[in-house]
Amino acid sequence: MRLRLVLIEDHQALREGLELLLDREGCDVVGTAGTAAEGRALVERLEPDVALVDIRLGDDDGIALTRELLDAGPERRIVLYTGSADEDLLFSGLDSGARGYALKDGSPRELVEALESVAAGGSYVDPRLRPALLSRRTTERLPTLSNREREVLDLLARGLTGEQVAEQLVLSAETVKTHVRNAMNKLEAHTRVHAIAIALREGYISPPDQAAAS
Amino acid sequence: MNDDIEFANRLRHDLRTPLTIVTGFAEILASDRPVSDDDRRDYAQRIINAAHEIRALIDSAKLAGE
Repeated sequence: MRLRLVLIEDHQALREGLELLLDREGCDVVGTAGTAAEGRALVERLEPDVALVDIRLGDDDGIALTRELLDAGPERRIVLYTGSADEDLLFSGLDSGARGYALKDGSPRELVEALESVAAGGSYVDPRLRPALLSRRTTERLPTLSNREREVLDLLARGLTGEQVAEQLVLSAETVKTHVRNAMNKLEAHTRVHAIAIALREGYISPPDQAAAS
Repeated sequence: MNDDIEFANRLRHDLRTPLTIVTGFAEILASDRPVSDDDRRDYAQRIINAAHEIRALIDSAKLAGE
């Protein structure tokens, strides 16, 4: 089934271009908006599978819009889209509750993979942002994650959904949720994606490509 | 200094926006996937427009740095 997608991007040419590119990649772009107000109304009306939100929406703020949309509908799935690999922006974005964070450097295929992963209940952080995540490695003492919590976060970082993690580890979905909740508390993360980012940054888990290579 | 960093971050974001158009449509044109003549012309024009925008952004950044 084609992914139902709302695009919120202030740059008109990119908005129109993405609509075409994503359509070619098999997505159904059900609505597009150029401002935060239009985007909010569109998401509320259409409730898409996932909303792609540009972080810089002209005079508006895509991160603030994400917070508003998630305050009103915590189950909404949002991927933030940005041209900047700025660390502070990245962490603000993750704090907003967005489940995905994609860079404009990626190909349309990569973007679709990010959207599909988030729509399926997973999470996504652009692999190009790993250096930014890892650069924040600190010597602060952090609470230790259990092996199971690390396993769960590791599989979520690879794009698996909570249900898929439960299946792979032969656990109940509720147990997986408990491990995620405990890991979030220990890492003082506000969201699941934020917990994955901190776990990557602090070396609790390896970036997926390194893990696959080892 | 913060203004400089903010300017650089904004410029990076602004440059990558049209660059996304260039790479996205160029990848289609370079791929083996079938593209009609009308679409090929449309995609090429989008790339040209985006390239003009990138040039204008670079020129404006140069002016701001002078």
